Amino acid sequence: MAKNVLLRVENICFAYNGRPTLVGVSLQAGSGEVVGLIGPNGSGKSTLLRLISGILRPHSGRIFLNGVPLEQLSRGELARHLAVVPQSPHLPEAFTAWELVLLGRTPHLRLLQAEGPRDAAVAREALETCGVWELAGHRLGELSGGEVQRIVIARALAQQPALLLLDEPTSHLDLNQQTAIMDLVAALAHERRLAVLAVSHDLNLAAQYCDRLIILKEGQVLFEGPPAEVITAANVAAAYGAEVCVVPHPRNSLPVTLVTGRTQTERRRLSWPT
Amino acid sequence: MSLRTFVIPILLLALSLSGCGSAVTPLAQRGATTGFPLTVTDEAGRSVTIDKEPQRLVSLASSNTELVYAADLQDRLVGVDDYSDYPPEAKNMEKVGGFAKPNIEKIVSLAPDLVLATQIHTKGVVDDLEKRGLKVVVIQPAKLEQIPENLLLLGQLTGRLGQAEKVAGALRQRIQTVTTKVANAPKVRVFFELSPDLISVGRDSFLDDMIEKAGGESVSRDTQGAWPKLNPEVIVAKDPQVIILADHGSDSGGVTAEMVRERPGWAMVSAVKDNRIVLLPNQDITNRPGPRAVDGLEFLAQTLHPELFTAR
Amino acid sequence: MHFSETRRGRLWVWLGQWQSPAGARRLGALLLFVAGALLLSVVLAIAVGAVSLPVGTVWQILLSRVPIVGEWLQLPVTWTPAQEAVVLQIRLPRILLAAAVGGALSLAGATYQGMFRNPLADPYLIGVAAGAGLGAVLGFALPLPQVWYGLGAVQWLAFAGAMVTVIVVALLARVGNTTPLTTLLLAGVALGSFCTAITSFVMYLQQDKLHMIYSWLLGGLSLASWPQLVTVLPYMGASLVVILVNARLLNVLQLDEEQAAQLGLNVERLKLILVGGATLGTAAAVSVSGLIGFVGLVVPHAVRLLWGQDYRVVLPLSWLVGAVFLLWSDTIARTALAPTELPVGIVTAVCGAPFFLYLLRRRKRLVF
Repeated sequence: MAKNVLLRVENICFAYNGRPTLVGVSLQAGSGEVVGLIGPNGSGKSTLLRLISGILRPHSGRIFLNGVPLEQLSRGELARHLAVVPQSPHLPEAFTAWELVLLGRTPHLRLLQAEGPRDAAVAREALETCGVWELAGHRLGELSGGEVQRIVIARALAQQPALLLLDEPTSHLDLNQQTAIMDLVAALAHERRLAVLAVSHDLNLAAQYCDRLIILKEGQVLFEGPPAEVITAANVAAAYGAEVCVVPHPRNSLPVTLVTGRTQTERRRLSWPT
Repeated sequence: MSLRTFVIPILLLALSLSGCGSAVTPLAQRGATTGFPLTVTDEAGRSVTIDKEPQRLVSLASSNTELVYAADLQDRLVGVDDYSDYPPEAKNMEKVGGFAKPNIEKIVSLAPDLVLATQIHTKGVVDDLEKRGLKVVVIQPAKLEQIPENLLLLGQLTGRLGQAEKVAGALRQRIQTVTTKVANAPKVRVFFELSPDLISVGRDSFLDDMIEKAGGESVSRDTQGAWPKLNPEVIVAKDPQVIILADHGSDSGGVTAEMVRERPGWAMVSAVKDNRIVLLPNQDITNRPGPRAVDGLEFLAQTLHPELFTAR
Repeated sequence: MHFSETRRGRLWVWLGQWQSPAGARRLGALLLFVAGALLLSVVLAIAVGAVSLPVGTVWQILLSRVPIVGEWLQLPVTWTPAQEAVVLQIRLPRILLAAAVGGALSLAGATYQGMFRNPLADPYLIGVAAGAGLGAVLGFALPLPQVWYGLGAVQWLAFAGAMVTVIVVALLARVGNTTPLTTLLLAGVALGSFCTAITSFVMYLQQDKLHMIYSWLLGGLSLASWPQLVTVLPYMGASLVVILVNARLLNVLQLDEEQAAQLGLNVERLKLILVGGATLGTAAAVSVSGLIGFVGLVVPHAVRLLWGQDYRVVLPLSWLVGAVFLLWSDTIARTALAPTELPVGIVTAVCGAPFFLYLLRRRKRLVF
């Protein structure tokens, strides 16, 4: 799949209040691919997303979007090129799905301009793509987590971005909703040629859907590559410090990470304070 | 000017409304007999029996203090409220606390034979004092004539009737002089402004009685309530011939004649056109229902009917 | 069949969305209607007052003053100068000032509710009231040259007090490059308390002015005049323009600040602009009317209950509805107990609260 590099992160460092969070991180994402960003808590995944979306400024290093350094893009321009789907965004319950998705047109409107028929068409198309057009008139407070998540993705689509950033898109969803979202995300990348960077906690979902995986630990890139190469028991142990079994999926041979529960005897051998 | 020049007089005026104006018989004549024990009905309608001639008096209001001094009874005065400041010697008297909330313990410690209170004290202070065995008489005149009568009562109570009669007689004379002179003159329309947010004096208030006796007709004389806040439209429509400013700008923040002239729509009020905007020299003469109220009457009469009174 | 082709689909597409040419026309019609109601209110209220004048006379007085029409009509003067003064110098400016103040307060209240995403926000939230009170009290208490009072020293000091307080609050609340809303709120509360404490202290020192100060704080329009109206109009106008221009952005701000920034908004600048605009209008209103409560809090909610959440609708309608509301509240305040006046804050509370409860019961759908 020919891809042109949309996002290039070069050697960025960032520290929160003097605590180093990212140390020399570099990565790339091209259109048409789903890149997964995984790693233990505190490894800096969300911070990386914030840096890419312009909320934070790196202390050193550069970020390029379509070859243009991020600092040279205004907030509005940035919002026209990339869209973020936050983890559990605060959404006013009284908004309807339609109103929320239309907000995604904000970067394309001038100050005194109101949404026009073209904006309405884009919004409708976004809702249809995400399969939630029927819910357009419903208020967000009435909908389930999975439906709301899809509507938020629709809002991101309404921005007509080239790069889509997702922060743990499936964290609060149940099984069927998770696969539905990831199917959608993969389709957006492969069929619409978006570049997608998704942070995830779920190793198995990431392995199933991502074209490339990046494992982050303590602010540094540990491993990078296609899932089959990156997800091995050794790598997972190095990154998470947990003992796992990695087996190939019976249907598509992609790596499946299995956690082994301890036997009773093993549990008793753990030292507990008396 | 301090609190007493405004809030207290308002209270004094306000309370002259509530029912005590209904049966306006001067104190001294109500059920009074010569010699002790003496039973009087005070101006709050209370019946008080006084067993022996009072030697120690406590006054809870500046107007009552002035009555005491006018009746030449200051030697029997042992305590006054914080705001009694006239005559100036009164300031050196033992203080018993604020006007509305005097210090009960202090009053009791002075062991008075008679406490001179006002209507505001009937809401608790009087009961407190009576519970501790003190005699309290409420003095709250609703009409000007009651002031000389109150003087007489004081004289009667303290055996100094002669002096009291002299002073009361003089006051009556002055009141009579004024009312006779203005009797045949047409009533002058007046707006008495108590404060710049257009508060004036209402019907049945003591000040309204004074204005009427001075030959005036207050624009708010038909208004219920002690001190109504008037709608400016009404004042302009009633077209007063004289405007009297009580709270005026000798210190900052008050109102001046200039400011009154510039109020929207007031330029065509007669008082403004004829330049009859008068600043009240001393609020105590109109706000205290005591002997100086007669000074106030004379001031009002002179202001309203200058042609009838030679300038002093 | 696609949803949008179903009846229900077409219905919701039509209802509740202003973002279409049809929606814009509907909004225009609604604004025109409410503005018409405001105009009608002015016309009716001017015939009503403590001094009863025949309606015909009132109209003759008004018409005779309209620039071209008046000369053309050549009406015979059947009224007294006092009556003319009452209508043109006292009533008309008062009615217009009541409308302007009501509008300004409601607009500011709606803006703060949107910005802080808090239904309890009112225009006095971040210290405007306390600052204005302090300014006014200093105006009464300080020995300023007498001439200044004729020029409205108290008004200007109240205005300045309000503006300065909010500026200080905004500066205090700054954290790095941002002004977080929570710190803004807390700084407002803190500085407001400080101003109130100083106000109380000054009042304690100046007991003879107590009555005037209380009277001012209680709020009222009884000394409204043309000069006052002309003085505050530019500030209220500026406030109105600044806020309405940003109405659509206020919609976006209903998401949290991070999402709004990711949608391309300069959130910090927007917050400062909105605070500045709302404070300007509120300070101007408070300087002439004292502290009238309830209007800025309740009117935006009533508007939202009736016409939805979109701030492009809520903001202008809040202004118009607030203007009508305070106009009539003041009319009641100046006629109900004629010839005396009722404090207008009592009227706004007594009239507004039951009405609001009624609206809440009728429309149970989510409000905020």
